[in-house]
Amino acid sequence: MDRLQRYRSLTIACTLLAIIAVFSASCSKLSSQAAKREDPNETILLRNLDTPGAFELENRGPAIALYSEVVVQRLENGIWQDEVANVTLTDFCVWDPKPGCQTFEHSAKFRPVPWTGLVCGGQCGMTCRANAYLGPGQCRFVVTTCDRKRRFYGPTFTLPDYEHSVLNKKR
Amino acid sequence: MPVTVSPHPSDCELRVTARPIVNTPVIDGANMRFTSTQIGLSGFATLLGSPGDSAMGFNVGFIQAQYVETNWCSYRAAASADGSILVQRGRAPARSQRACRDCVDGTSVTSIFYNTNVAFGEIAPGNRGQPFPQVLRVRHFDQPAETCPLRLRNTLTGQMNLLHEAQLEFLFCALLSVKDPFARFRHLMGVYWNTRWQYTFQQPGFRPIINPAGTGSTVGTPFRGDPSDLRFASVLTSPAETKSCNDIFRAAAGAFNPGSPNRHESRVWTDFSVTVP
Repeated sequence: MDRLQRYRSLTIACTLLAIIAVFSASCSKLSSQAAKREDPNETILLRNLDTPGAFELENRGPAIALYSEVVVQRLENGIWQDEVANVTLTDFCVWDPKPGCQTFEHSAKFRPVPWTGLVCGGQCGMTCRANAYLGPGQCRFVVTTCDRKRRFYGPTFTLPDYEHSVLNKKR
Repeated sequence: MPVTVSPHPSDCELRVTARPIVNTPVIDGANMRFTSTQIGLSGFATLLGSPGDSAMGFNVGFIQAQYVETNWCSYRAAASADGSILVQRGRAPARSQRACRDCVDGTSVTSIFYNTNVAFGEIAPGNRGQPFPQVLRVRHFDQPAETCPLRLRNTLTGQMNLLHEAQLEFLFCALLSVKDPFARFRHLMGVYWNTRWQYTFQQPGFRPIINPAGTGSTVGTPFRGDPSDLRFASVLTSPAETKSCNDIFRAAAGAFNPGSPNRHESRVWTDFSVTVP
């Protein structure tokens, strides 16, 4: 009997510990995401433009070097997931783009070529045989410092379904 | 472990939901960009089993092979004495002449399926504990595209040559397939489709002039059963494939580099044979 009570106590304690661990992990993940989204003192401000996938970057702090590859995140089951999308900080499509870093002076504003939502060649033309479209869904852009240590999160935007995207317009 | 779960050979469907429309090429920064609208497919497969069986480890999805690639661009200067260039991206050694398995960026070619990210709906796993028959629905999306640089410097004349003509043809076969827990595949249905562009470009401004015979798209009638097409049968599920079509054709861009055996230069305007490597 005494043994059974000890076993029950141990089971309850383990269950409580597991619940606390899961709860605190979820909270810290959510709070860190929220903090990253809402920090009013963020050096790099990402601003969505009218067309989904078009955005502007503004440097409100001192000069900063940013990595050219932009991460696209999609909200899946309440969690932001990094997606493969081949988006870069470029305002002109070159033949042979190379990843690198770009310095933005204080108060610099920059509008990259808009992204259409395609995984391959959604911004600048690419060699694509297989392709995928990330919409419909909630997305956001994330830029990183050159050393990849800091991330700056843009506001959420809604990528429409393919039929309502810019891709479905006959050119 | 005996597997009694199996796909129904005929209770399946492959439907064309969107046919690609080839767009007129457009200037995109320093490049000419060739695009189309999407091909869309939807389909389902039915898994049969007995009470107590599990469909865990089964997956229904799409496999796609590209079995023909035509890909050449020719360049001319304003005057014949400034030269011309032909770049062959679709032939060896820029690329091998054989078919390739097509997988989206982010899906390893060793996964066999075209897109294993379940969020895209291209793959559907069998469900444990769900009664049979299980109907697994999937959809397929593709929108192939290519670019050519607008300008190349002719190393024989030192002059800039401008994009004059391009022909691009991508021929595919997409298959609705079932993978069992032992990684064996059963192809239930398939469809052939392609996109093609042939344009000349007039100066000033690279104005595109269509060659209607070489431009368009086709989607065939879906067929049932295993494809017996020897042009791509060997690459469909082979674990030996290590590069996707995207990987292979991106690497073929090296054909544009001076000195490449796929780049042919002339001191004057030349009508190159496009059958050369």
